[in-house]
Amino acid sequence: MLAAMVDMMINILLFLLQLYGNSAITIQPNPDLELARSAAREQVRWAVSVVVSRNAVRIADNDVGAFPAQNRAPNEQEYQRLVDVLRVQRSAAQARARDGVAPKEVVVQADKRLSWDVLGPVMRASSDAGFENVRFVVAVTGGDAD
Amino acid sequence: MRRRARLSVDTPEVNLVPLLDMVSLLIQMLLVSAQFGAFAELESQVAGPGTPEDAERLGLEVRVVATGYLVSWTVDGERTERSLACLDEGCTHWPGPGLTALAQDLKGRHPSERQVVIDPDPGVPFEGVVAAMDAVRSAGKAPLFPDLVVAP
Repeated sequence: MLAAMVDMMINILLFLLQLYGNSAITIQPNPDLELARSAAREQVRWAVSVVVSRNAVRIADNDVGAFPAQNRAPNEQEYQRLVDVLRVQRSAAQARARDGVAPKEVVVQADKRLSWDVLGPVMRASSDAGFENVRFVVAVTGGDAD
Repeated sequence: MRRRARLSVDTPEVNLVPLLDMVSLLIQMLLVSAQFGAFAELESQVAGPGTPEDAERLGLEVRVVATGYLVSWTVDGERTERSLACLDEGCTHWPGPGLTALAQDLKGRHPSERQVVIDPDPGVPFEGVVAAMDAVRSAGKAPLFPDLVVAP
């Protein structure tokens, strides 16, 4: 009797391991982070991660600012902190890279309801820190974007 | 005659209970960290100073404003502009299909062009920006203007 159960559990385990292995970055369901929908199909690749939820900006698990809570642009100090943390993360990623080349891309998970007042400066800060490209994580739709 | 007593041989059974414990713990751990939604990425380049001027001859630009999209491009050295209004009052439905149709028309006339500059106004929601990016980069599987440059 137990053998059948073990078979079933091992199948579930393999399915979950495969699911786990496919994701380059972790996207946790969060009511403050509702991703925009898109018909894009490009798989998310690993890069320095910036999460801009409705409450805060997190860069590689560091809380960097709470200005999204007021849906406003960062002030000068907050902006400088964004640039500094991004520079540190870029250096760390460069040190980890096998070829020693600094990364040029950052992956941004942003809430779709946030205004460009918040996200524009985050993009500008990424550029100031040396990241030329920004890749936005989106939720995949069946066809046309909603 | 004495009968020989039969030896009863028990088939040894593997104790599966510890294995089940371990597997169910692993399943719980993976279920907690699994992500079941499907995600993708939209790649864009951050516009630097002078990047819009670097755009090729067509110079396609989409301004995302509170009421919809303002699309502009160059024809014979002169800028042409077209406005695409949102499909509802509060701009919850962005005019993506209209923008795709316009992009298809422009692509048909300039097949070698690949770049588009997206220029969002400060107050617009991010979903309007993504809808614009989505509408101009491709129509179904046919690429339109896949090189997205976003003005921060």
